[in-house]
Amino acid sequence: MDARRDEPQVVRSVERFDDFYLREFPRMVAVAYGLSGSRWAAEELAQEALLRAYKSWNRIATYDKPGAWLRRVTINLSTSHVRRRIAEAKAVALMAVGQRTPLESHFDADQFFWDQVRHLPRRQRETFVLHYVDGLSATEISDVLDVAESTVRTHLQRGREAVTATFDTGGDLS
Amino acid sequence: MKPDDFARHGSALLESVREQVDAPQGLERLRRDERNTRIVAVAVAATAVVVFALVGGLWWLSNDLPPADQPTTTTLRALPVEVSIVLLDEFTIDAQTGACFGEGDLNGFTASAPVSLVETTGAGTLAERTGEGTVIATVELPAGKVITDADVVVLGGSAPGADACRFTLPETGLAIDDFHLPDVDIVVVLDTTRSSTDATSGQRHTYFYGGDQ
Repeated sequence: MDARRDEPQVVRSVERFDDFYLREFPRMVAVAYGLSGSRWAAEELAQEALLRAYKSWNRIATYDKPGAWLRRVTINLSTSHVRRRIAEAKAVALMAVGQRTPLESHFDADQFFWDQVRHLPRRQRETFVLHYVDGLSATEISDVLDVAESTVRTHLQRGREAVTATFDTGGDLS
Repeated sequence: MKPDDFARHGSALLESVREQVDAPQGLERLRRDERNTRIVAVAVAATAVVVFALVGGLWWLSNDLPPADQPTTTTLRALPVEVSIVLLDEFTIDAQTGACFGEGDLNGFTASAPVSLVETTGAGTLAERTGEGTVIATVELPAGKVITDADVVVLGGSAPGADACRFTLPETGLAIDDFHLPDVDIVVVLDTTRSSTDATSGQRHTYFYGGDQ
């Protein structure tokens, strides 16, 4: 007798891309903005990450955590200086030819606070943004960044301390 | 800062983004971008195919020319050089002096060849000879000259005694080695109406003997 017949059949419902996009787009824009500091770049970087997901949606939709894949791509794009500049240039070009509504260069947020976050070391910065902006737990962040959960907690703690110290010293990170 | 302050800043940013970005419009733009990307990819692929076909076609054409149109080329080994040329055809001979003269076009270089009659075979006096035979002529070629079958030196004309200098190729066919001329660098056979057996009437043939071929 085939033993596999006794195993529970796990049938995952594949999410429609449209629903995935509408849910994740604002979050990815916020994550990209938290990391890059440019609204123009943030929207283009999030769009680029979702475009990649769209092109391979048949495969990505079957992943256990498509959202983790998307966040990895968004973070990689956002932390690349070159990518960020290209995204900004594209946004400016689209606005120039009227294919996009002219936008403010920043979202309504405490620019000084987020500037301090962007001065953190890369991993601390990514952990910080994923936790406080995207609302991910340490476990979820460890999946996205492929690091141990304890490492995530350490990064978070050090990031908080560094930002707090900046405010305590009147904004001088050095 | 208190721990709650970090969460407050994060929530405020996310809320601001939610209010200011238009996700449905973004989705529409994404589909448009993807479609444009595909169109560009197809256009690039089509262009590559066309370019490949053009280059391939030109290459094929350049390598598929009939042999008759492809000049046989040889470059002289040491230049300037004196080459001995065996001429088997009509040429001009001065009936008075016995000297042969020729004029030819060497790939654009017109030479009035100082042809010296070195050896002939056949019966009769020089001015009267007809029949099979060889004439070895010495022609000084310009340095760097590349000789092709378009460089055939045409000897012939209407000078007195021209008829006496007609030689007939062996009826059995032409074999360069049959001439046994080890010192000859280049053998030029001018084949007109009385051609070798394998030649098309009226068509010139050039054979190179020795040298860099």
